Amino acid sequence: MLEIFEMEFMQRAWIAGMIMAVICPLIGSFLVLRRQSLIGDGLGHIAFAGVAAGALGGYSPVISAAVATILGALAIERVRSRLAASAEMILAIFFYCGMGLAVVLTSINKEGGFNLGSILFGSLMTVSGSDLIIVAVLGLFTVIFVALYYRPLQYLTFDEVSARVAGLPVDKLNMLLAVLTALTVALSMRIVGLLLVSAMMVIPVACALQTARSFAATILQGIVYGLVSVALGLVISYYANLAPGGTIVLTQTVMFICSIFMGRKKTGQQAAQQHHCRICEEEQKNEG
Amino acid sequence: MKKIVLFVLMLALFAGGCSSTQTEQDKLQVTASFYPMAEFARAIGGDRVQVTTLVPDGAEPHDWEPSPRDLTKIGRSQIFVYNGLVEPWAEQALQAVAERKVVSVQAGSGMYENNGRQDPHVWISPKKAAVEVERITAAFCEADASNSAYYKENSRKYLLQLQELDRQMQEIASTAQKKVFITSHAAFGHLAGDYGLRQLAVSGLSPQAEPTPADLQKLAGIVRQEQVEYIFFETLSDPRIAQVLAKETGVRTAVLDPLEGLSEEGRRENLDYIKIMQRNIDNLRIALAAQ
Repeated sequence: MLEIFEMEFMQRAWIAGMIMAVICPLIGSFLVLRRQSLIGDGLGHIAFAGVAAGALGGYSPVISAAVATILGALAIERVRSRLAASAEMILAIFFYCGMGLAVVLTSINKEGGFNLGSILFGSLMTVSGSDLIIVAVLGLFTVIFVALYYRPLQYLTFDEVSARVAGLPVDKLNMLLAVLTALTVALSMRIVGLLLVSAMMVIPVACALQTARSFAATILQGIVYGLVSVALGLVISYYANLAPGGTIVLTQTVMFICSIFMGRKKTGQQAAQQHHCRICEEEQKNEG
Repeated sequence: MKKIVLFVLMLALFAGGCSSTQTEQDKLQVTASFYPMAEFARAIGGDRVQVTTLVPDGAEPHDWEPSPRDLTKIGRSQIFVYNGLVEPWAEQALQAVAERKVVSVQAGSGMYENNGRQDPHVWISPKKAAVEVERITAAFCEADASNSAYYKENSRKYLLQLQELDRQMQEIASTAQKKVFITSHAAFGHLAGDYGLRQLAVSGLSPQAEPTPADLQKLAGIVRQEQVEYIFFETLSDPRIAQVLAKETGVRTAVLDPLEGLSEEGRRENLDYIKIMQRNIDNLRIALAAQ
């Protein structure tokens, strides 16, 4: 067997990475088009506050982080639906608020004794069997949610006002999407690392936006880009002795640069084809 | 798309070509965290054990973290030897390879307490090094019972050398005119504590801890008060602070190697734990004005 698949921890890293490569672009496609690309990162900051509050009150850090991110995501959603034009400004305010809260709560907690880093920044190499179950269940929920509500979600992503007029449960769907995003961030960052979760929600989707022609294709291609980046990133990081999470993100960045050129070439070809057809038509007319 | 598939396939082939051929498979496979642990394991295992050192020589074991490949090395071995406290990553690493039933030996376990502090540098005291050697020997004998007589014999020879170092240290302790020595990093607490000496360190337990000006002032005071003639600095980290102190107080500098790794020079001169400890002890003898 290949050395890279030999050890169980690498097998778990592969499975966890692959599941993330499906979940994240699936949710991320909606977020990126709603100009909420930074939400994964931002919810991570709010999770800091959750972990700090949990340490202060003696609750489990995972649960307190999940509660904080869900509340944060719902609040962001509330404000966003009122001030849709300044979505990123609102995100920014929530991040800083989350960080500020985390710093203050940590300073209140004189006993200390908890390691923020270890709770927040997981690692692909230390994924456990029960972590895999959590990620798999999360993935299942995400796929079911998007499959069930694909049409209405697509509608409200492109035109929230018309979706509302058309009688769709816009508020309910927005809330569900926000909660799902929050859960994805809160549960997976401890397992695969915040960097990987938040980048995976954005960069594969950004690649797909360059090359795909429809919304469905954007989601599917985003997942393909995600899967390829995890595979390449893990192989490179293993044989070059690099940090796996960071290597996957850098692989995605390189893929994004390539996708820009791929996208351009395609539109160039299209234009040439159209030009060619017009000439044909004119020739036909002339002949006629 | 075809190109991508081809690329991935080529990578997979390349990866397959890289996977190492296992020639030494019949030997007992041992991974050791860093230099002294590897040295002890090699001394006991002789040519019937294949020892892989994880932290490369010359790197600071306090800062090192295992890569996925290092974790694979641990997972492939039957025994993992570590000192404890120096390797905060060990627990997670063992968890990552939990399915592999690697026997772990925390050689320094239960011996860290020194002067009210948890000091990981237990291998620096010949007494505690002997305990570590005995623990590693026990693990080897259990994992590879057919060679246990061989391991025990090697272990006995090595323990004799450690006993000789111990004897010299006791001799120094009983004849020393000074009981205090100054080091650049607090790695010799167990050596001092086990023989009734006192170590004063310019910086803290970790080699990176920078001393404050007040610390230096205090040290300079002690240098004068105790009439210390030497300040020791180690081979691996920055000797600047010890040199500044030496210049300011007019004392001389000497080397006391904390044996966290074997330097390039050490490897060239074919040095090992016993030889370097002998040098340390000789230097201490001079500095403490012992017989």
